[in-house]
Amino acid sequence: MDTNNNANVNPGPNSGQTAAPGQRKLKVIDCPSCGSPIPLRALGQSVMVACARCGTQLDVSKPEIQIIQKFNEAQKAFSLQLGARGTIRGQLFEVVGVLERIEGAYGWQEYLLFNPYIGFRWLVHDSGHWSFCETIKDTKAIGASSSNLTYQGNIFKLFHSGRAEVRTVIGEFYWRVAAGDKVVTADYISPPYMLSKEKSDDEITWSLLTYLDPTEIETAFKIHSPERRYIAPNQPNPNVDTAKPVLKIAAIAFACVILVQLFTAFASRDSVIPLGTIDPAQATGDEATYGPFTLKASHSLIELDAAAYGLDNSWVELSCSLVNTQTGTSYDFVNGFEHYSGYDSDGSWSEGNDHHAALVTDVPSGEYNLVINTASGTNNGSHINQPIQLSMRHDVTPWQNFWLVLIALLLYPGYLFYQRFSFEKERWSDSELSPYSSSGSDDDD
Amino acid sequence: MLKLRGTPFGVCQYCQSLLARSDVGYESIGKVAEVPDDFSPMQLGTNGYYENKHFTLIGRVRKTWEQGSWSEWCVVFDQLIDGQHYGWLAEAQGDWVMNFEQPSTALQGAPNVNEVDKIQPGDQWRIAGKSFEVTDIKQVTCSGAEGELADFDQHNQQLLSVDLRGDNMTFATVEFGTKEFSVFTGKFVDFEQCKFQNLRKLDGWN
Repeated sequence: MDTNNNANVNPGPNSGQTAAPGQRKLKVIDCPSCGSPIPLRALGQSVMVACARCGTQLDVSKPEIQIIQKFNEAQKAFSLQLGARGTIRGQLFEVVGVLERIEGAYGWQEYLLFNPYIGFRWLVHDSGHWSFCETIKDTKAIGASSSNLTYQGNIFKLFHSGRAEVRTVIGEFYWRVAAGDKVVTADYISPPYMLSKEKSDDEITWSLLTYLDPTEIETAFKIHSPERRYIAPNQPNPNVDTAKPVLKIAAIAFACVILVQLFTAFASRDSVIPLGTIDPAQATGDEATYGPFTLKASHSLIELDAAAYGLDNSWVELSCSLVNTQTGTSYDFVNGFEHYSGYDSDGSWSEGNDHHAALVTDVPSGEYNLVINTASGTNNGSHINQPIQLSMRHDVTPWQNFWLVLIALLLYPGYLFYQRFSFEKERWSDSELSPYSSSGSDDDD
Repeated sequence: MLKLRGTPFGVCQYCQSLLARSDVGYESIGKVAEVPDDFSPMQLGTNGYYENKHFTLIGRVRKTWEQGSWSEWCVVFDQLIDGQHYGWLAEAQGDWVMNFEQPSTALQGAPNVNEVDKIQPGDQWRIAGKSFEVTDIKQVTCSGAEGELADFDQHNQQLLSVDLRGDNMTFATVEFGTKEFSVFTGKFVDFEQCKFQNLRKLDGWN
C-alpha cells in the first residue's frame, strides 16, 4: 500500500462514453492501480470511490480524478454486488458502495444504495439479518426519557454501545471513508426499528433502521440470503403477532365463561334438604328410604353430601337410587369414601377423607324417593361406629367445570407468553444491558 | 443566443461569460467554470412545487470544499413566496433543501466576519427569532455556474459556509465572505412531494 495524493489519473479507454445531450450515461473510469473499469454510479454526489477489485481509493469529487490511497487487496465476496439493483419498499435502488465494519471480532456489512431521484439509503446486513437504513434529518424530533429515546411515537431502549471500525471499503461514497475509520456507536431498539447513533470526531449521525424479512432481499436482488443466526436486536418478536389474536379470543372466551357461570349461580335455587343421620350399626344391610321430594329444576345438579366425622382406617359405601314415584324410573349412584392413617419409617401418613359429595346429573323434574343401601367396614371387617350425616342439595351451582375451563383457557396464552418471553430473553442475551439477566455480565459476548 | 429574463446574473452557455445586469443591459464581468458533469436528476427547466407554489430551475452554482461538492439550483417562483421571487434548491448527497435569502440583520448570536474561526458545531444561533444549531462548517469555493442566477458572489473566491439545523426539518446556511455575510433559511423537501416535471433522463433509471 502506498499513498499518492497528487497523481492525476488518465481517463483511460472507458471514459470515452460521452452522453447525448439530456441523456446522462454512466461514466466509467479505469482504476489507475489495477486497470479494472470503475463505473461512477452517483457522479456528482460521490466524493470517493474504492476499486472493487484492488481497493484503491480515488477522489472523484473533482473532474480531475486523483488517487487517495493505493491498495492491492484481494477481491472480497459480498452478498450483494456493486451495481446490483432491487426494489425495496417500493423504490428501486442500486448498490453503489459496500462497507465492512467490525467491532472486535464481530463483523457486518453496510451497503450504500443510490437512486438519483431519491438519494442515498443503506442496507445493513448482519448474520442473515437485513435492515433498511435512512439517515435522520429531523434529529431534533428525537426525545429522551430517562435512559430511553422516543422517536415518531416509539420508545427505544438502549441495546448496545461500542466502537465500530471500517475494515473494508469498495465502491462509491458521499464522504471520504477509509479502512480504520472509527466511530462510537449507540443502538436503541424498538423492534422492528432501531435508532443508531454514530459519533466521529466532527459529526454525530442518527439513522433509523427498519428490519426487513430476508425474503424481501432475496426477492429484490435475486440472491440467496445466508441463514439467520442469533436474534437481531431489532428483529420483531414473531410471538407478538401470533399471540395477539389468540389473546383476544381467549379474553372473550374468559369473559363468556365467567358470565355463564355467574348467570348459572344466580339462576340455581340451591335448596338444601336435610336427611338426618344413619347409624351404621342398624342400617348395615338394610335399605333406608327418604322422601318423597319434589325436584323442581329439570336436569339440574343434585348433590348428596355424606360425612362420618372422625372416620379412620375405615370405609363407607352408600349405594343410592333416586326413584321417580310416578314412573318408577331409578337413577343410581354411589357415594363412597374412606380414610386411613398410620406410621411408617417416614413418619405419620394419612389418606382419603371422612366425607364426600356425590353429584348426580340429568335427573328430570318430578317427585322422587331416595333409597340408600349402607355398607361400611373397618380393618376388623365390622361396620363403623360413627354416625353418617346426610343431606341432599338440589339445583346446585357447578364450580368444578368452571375452574377447569378457566385453566384450559389460560394454557395456550400462557404458552405464548412464555415463548414471547424466551425470544426477548435471547434477544437481550447479546446486550450488556439485558433486563433479563441479574448480573448483566455473565454472557460471553 | 443567450436569453435572460431579468435576473441579476447570467452565465453564457457558449462562452461561460459571467454577465451582470446593469442600467444598460448585461455586461460581462468575467468568466466562470462550467459545472462538471454529474448524475443529478435536475436540469435547467426542471420545474416543481414547493408549498403548492410552482417554481422552475433557471441556474446553478456548484460549490466545492476540500472533500466534495454540491449544487445550488437557482429557482424562480411563478408568484411571490414570502415576498421572494427567487429561491435556492440545494442538492447535496441526495438530500434536497429549499432556501431563501434573509436580511443579514435576521441573524443573532453569530460572531463577526473577522472572528469566524470561533464558530463550532453545536453553537446556538437565532435567525428571524427561531433557534438553530450549527452542524457543519466548511471552506468552499464556487467551482462552476450555469444559467441565470439571482445572486452571484463575484468578490469572494473563498467562503465559509456554515450549515445549521432547526426544528421541524428547518435548515439554514450562513455564508461568510471577507467583509460581509449572507443568510439563508429553508426546509428539507421531499423529492416526491415536489412533483418535478422535465427531469433529466438518466441512463438506466427511466
